[in-house]
Amino acid sequence: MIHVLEADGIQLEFGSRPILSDVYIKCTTGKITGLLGRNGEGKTSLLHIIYGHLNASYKCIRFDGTFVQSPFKNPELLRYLPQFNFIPGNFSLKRVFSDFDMDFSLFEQRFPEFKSKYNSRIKTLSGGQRRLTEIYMILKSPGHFAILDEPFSQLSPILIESIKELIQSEKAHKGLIITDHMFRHILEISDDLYVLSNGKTHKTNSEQDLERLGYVRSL
Amino acid sequence: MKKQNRLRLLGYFYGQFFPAALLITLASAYLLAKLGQQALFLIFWFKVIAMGLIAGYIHQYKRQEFFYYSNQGLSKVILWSLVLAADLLLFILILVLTAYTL
Repeated sequence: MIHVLEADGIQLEFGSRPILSDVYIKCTTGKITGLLGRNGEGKTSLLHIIYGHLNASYKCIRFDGTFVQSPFKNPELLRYLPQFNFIPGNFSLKRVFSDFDMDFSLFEQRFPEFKSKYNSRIKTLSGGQRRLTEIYMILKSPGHFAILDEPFSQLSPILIESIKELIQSEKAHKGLIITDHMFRHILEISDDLYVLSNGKTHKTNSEQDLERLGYVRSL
Repeated sequence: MKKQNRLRLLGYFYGQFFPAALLITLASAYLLAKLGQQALFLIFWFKVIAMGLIAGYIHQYKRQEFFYYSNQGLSKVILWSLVLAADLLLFILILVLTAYTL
């Protein structure tokens, strides 16, 4: 069954400065929805609003047409990868996999570099390994949708390719909203693409739209 | 998520500031023993303000970790409500025991 996540009518102001005013974004299971925007356009704020961690003056977040006030209360509906490390450094991989009720052997099979790291604490992993673990937990744990905020930033090209493969394989099971400044990766894996510009989302159909919307100078 | 996993997460969250919270509770018990029951109002506000400072510290320096809890279905409100309720119970219990042994 296909599920649909929609966000619209979002209005956000910081003081008297309007940040988001005319937003519509739609994500369906089985698809990757990319979100691009220049720094300070409000991408992370928009994602926080969809997740329910940030209050907006007005918002309408719907799952299969039903309004949901705080999606974060139901992780089986929506999970969130923030742009920073969020797994406590003191936790071991064993503990994290137990908390998320997931099988470490499958992870180890896919990423052999984690062999013998089962009892390692998160803070002892390299930055890339730590990020990879976080992305894996969000993508592989049960849920209809997941938001990934900057999953590729500060990762090596090889790791980025691994993560792209992981994302592609997981889209069969869930709907994904992804934003990152490494826009070529987003262009490559997205089925639908939105650009956030001047507080509004613009659904783009071609790479030329990115230029027209002022996101890139030339491709 | 399993109930025991949630309890373990709550335990971890409380454990981050349990030593400080216990120290404040013990200091409150000491104040009660020294000043008597007429100081209860003062002791209560001492505990409230100290816990407020701890909560502020956690929000400032551990806020990234709240995404770990929310991805497990534990919102900030649930975390703080349950943990502060447990801490309040411990606070009352220790004060009652102190008053009883005086």
